[in-house]
Amino acid sequence: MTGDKIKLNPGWERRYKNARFLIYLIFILSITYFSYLVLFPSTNFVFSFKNPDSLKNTIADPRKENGELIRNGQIEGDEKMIFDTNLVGDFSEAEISFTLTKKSSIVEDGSVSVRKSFRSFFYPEGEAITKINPPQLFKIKEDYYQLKDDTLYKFVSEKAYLSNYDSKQALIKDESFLKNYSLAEEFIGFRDGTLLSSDISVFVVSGNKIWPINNPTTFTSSGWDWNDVIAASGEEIGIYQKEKLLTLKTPQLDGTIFFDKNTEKYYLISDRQKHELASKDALDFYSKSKPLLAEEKNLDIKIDCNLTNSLGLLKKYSCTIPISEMKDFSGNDFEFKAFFGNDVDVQNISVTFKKKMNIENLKSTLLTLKNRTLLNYGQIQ
Amino acid sequence: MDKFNNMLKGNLGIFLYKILNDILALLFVTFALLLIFEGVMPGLVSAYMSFTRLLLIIFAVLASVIYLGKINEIKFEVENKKTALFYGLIIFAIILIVNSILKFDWWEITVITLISITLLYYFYKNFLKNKS
Repeated sequence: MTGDKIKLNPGWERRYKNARFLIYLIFILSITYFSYLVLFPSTNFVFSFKNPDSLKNTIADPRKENGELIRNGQIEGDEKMIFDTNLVGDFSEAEISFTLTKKSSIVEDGSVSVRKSFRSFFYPEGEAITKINPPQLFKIKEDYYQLKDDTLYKFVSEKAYLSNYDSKQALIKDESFLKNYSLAEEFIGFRDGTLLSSDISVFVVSGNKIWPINNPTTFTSSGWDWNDVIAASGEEIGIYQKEKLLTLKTPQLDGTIFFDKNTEKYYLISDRQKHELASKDALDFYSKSKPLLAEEKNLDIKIDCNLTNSLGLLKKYSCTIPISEMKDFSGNDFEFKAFFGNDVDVQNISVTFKKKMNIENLKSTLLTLKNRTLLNYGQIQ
Repeated sequence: MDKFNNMLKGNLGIFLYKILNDILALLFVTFALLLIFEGVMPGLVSAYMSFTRLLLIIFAVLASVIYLGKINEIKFEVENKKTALFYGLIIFAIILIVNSILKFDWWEITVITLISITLLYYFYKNFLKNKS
């Protein structure tokens, strides 16, 4: 018997035709469902207090208002639980749900609020920076140096110096000047927040460390510009300690400058605080840093919802917050603040961002897909 | 095992064979389309489904088709002449190879594509064609 001569008796032939119809139907339904998933995507973030260190936890840092991390899920009635999610793309609503442990008391009057900005821009405001000691800078032959505590620190390259200061700020000295001071072994590198590239990797500088950026989506959604990336040599990269991958979850690093165009204020991120640059000296000193645009007024805009037990039996409380009005807010961080009303023991948190099925969202997704295609082919050299 | 084989002989076995053939054809078409989508927009498909799983399903269905064909003594007839499908597959392979190395120089793309297609043709000629 060969492939084209396979015959079934009439009863089985009928069954075969019915089964084939069913398979084609399932195939068409699967394609329709897959298209729905692509065109109206949803993104889910989770955190399990059973495994707080698990890499599967995509919700960042559940914590109390004082910043103390919550590792066991227990929270008292008068406290609030804060956590963050970071995502790219426009979504219509966020469904937040909390699953409590069996022994936990129930939630009677719980609510959740959300606000959107950059993760670091949510930091509390610290002391404003008013006074900056002018640096003592020197140029000896082609090299640049800075004098600190009677020690000369050499800049790793001219590019590194120029990322910090203007060339006219350095006093020109001859080589004999080097004999007056001890020379430090460490080099001075690029200004904090500088973007460096080496091979196909792009890094962000902060202090004596560099963070490799995990992918182009993180880069673009963090507010950075490809034109600001400086090609660095092996020597320039070599003076830094390499940190773990910088992802969407990573808060903006120390040295990041934010600018609010409404208030025309600049802020510097340092030690989990934001400090206003409140003098001309401070503004001049950080003038070489390219700021990220953020809006202070958005920090006060919160949308909330009341937690309800939709399933009845299970200790699962959820509510949905419309977030489409936040789509034009700068930043990619959604900061959630949950209040439970009484002492509870949370087992899991889940946040699902959804797109409603409508023409506007369809257009938005198609535009995103088009841009992704262009991004894929746009970097061809 | 013999009881199981006997059960799959005759109408039930041929019915399953034909249904699995249809499923295999649909899976091949789906796999090819998904590969193109993933090539054009990386992450579009892999964000929702695993290509490895799909490939494993294809192999499982293929193995079942071969097994059922063997039990029911259904033989394959591979035509020696080059069909439109053969040329279609070659063009599809070229598209996938070129798309995956677009960031290379044009001469590198040409060399890699030519070598890949030659190797594919060599495998076809020495393993599939001779076997048939």
